[in-house]
Amino acid sequence: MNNSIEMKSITKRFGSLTANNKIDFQLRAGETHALVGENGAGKTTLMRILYGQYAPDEGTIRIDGREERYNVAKALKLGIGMVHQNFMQISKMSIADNIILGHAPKKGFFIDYKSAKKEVSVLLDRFGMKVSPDKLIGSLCVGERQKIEIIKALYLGAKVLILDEPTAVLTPQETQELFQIIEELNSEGKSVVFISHKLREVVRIAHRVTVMRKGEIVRCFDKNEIQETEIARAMIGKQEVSLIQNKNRGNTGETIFIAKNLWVFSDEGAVKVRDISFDVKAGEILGIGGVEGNGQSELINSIIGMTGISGGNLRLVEADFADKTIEERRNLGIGYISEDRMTTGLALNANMDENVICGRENSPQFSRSGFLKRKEIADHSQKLTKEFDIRGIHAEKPVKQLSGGNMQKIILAREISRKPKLLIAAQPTRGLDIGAINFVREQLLEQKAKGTAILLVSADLEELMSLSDRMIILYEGEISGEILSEEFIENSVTEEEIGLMMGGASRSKRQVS
Amino acid sequence: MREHAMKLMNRDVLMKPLNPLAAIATAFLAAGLVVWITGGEPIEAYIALIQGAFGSESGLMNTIRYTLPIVMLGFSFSICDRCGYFNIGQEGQMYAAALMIAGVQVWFSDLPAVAMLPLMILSAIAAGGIICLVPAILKFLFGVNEIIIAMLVNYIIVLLTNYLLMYSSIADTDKTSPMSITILPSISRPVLIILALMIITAYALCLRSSAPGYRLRMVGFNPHFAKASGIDTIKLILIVSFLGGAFSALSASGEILGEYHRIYTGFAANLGFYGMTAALIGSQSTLGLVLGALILGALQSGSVSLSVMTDVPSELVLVVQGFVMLFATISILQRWTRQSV
Repeated sequence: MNNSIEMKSITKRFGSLTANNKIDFQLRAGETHALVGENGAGKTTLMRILYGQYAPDEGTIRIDGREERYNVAKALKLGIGMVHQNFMQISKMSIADNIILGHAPKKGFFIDYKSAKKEVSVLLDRFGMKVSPDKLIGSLCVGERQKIEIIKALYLGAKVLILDEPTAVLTPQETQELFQIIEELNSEGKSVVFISHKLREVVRIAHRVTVMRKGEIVRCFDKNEIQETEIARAMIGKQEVSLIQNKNRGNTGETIFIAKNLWVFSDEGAVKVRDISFDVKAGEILGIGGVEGNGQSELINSIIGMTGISGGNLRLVEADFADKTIEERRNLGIGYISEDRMTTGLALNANMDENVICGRENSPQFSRSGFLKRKEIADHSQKLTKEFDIRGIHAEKPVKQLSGGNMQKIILAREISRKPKLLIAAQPTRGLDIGAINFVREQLLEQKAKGTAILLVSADLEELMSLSDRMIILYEGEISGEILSEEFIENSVTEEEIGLMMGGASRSKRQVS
Repeated sequence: MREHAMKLMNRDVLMKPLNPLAAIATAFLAAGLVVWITGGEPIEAYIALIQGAFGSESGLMNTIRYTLPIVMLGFSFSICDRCGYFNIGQEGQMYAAALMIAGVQVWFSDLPAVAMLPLMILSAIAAGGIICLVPAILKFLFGVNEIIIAMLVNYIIVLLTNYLLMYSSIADTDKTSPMSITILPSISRPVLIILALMIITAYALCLRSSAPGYRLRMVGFNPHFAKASGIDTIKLILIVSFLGGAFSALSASGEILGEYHRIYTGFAANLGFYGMTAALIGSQSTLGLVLGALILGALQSGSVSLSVMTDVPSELVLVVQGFVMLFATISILQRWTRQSV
């Protein structure tokens, strides 16, 4: 097979950081080449160079044997397309408009909508999408929108398709569909670069796997060498790769938190949480699963008090708290590990001391008659730095200079040091490397052992299945299924079953069929 | 990664003082160019300016006299800015405060000066604070653009002031131009300076080391985070907005009670913009804000000697001030855009 793309000795530096160091990367026609590595390994940088977004500092790119230097516009002409993690789409425009945007066929001065729609329809048909090209992009679900992105790249004549973490937002079923599309593209001689963290998927779809670490290529696996454990080892560069599991499932105490007949509406008046009831017991990790955007964020926000509820009841131990302020709820014993470190989790421009006392600046521990006790605050923050092994802290410097793992540790330290009764952990390991993931898991399990009730919301099914004592699945604001701790202990529930619930199929229906 | 971050940090540390200084230097260069093109001697003009502002005791006192109101207005802008409230209503707040001072003079003319003076300042603070609260309430509770509201409120109050200075019990009808009756209680300049220094110190201390100051800084850094951590952001923002108006009122009180002893129609014209410029120059630092105000104050006090000592008209000062404002705003914009990337 010929190399359709050959990147040779590519180096890219950002200031003193070398994001890509002398990288060689080849892509053959008709193959799926997976690019794996931890966050910050340089995968996306390398692909942005291939896509023409960055110019390499050193090295050459050959496309079909010819050396090329190009920007994004020319990359499209050369047949290189990229589907980004965050879709570049305009929700208020139609499918057809989004696809032809910037490349519309013209008839004189006007856009030739007729031929554009015809072409788009053909492509939609080919991918089994039974939607009109006039439908608004915003009305499609995430999986469909991703297909549209792929269709757009093909419409522009892509022979090489770069998919950046394409399965992060998909259900297992949608992922299967995506894989079928990828295989079909391969059979037409088109090549795909598949960037991912998820090794199982990589093993399933890739012909070759290149592993990157710290801006360098560790190893390139050929089809017959691909093995999950080997790849994982290459990724983190250590022998120890196993993620920590909850080994004490179902061992729980009295009920700590109750949500009863909860209703939450969005600002626009759409139902986000529909009549949900559940409870969490002491020492229990209740996992909340589901494809993102099915009411998880709204549910959490209503519990911590960022948004109001429209109906129902919230209770912590003996106290109803639905009408309490955020501060009162936190003082009652609700801790919150934010799903977004950068917005609700931390003040990035503030330093460690300021970040760990936020919300407690008025407590007698940290202030006297309205003025902060600098010494006590510094001591407290130093104690937490040690306890949670937070690296890279400088007293006066803003926390934005820290790595994601260390930022997350600050949040954990702040929330856990308040000794919460109910700890809400939303996407607690998102974007972290394996070492940091295990640290977070350890901390959560330690809290479980101490009798904290934990509400774990995650988009990562593996994480939910590894940690949860019990699990509920949200679909369009309702609970579409529950998995009991016995089922986890007996291992009688499969990822596929949960996947179906994530797609809205309720359990009883499946049992009937 | 760390090294990269460290370097970024260093650049931030470098840019922080450099940026506003560069803005000021550029402003002087640009204004100098204007002088040079129109046939003047820029260096001579600037020497005259500096001598006028700092060269004599009376010049220095004058500089301080012009600096103090700008500092207060800088505080007014700066604390509101931290909450995401772009407070450009300072002129209106100052006129409202001044009207209250005159009102107290008329309604409570029997009071002794010791009682009347604090009453005047307190009612001025109440008026300024309430005027500053109006756009804040509309913005943060109803989503109305505060800049438009503040500008409209400004117009209303300025015109109301003009009217009251001609046709009401506070108007001095013996004079040909509209002005108020004489405000009897007064504050001498040394006392004014001491009071101002006390306010500046308290402001810096509270912002840095008090629990409410901490909360304000957190809201400034990241309002979502502050809210999620249990800070009642709306309450804080409304209190701060009132304080913003209070600082404008203090500025007006100093001007009326310490300098003019009457209200003239345009006594606060453009002062709000000087305050804003000083705050932008200071960019979050109290000392920087005071220094920024000092430069603007020096320009004003030096302008007299400029026209006496050189052929360059004193309006040059307006040109420099305009350029300082322009470049200070640009440097702030640069920082914003860099943060958002």
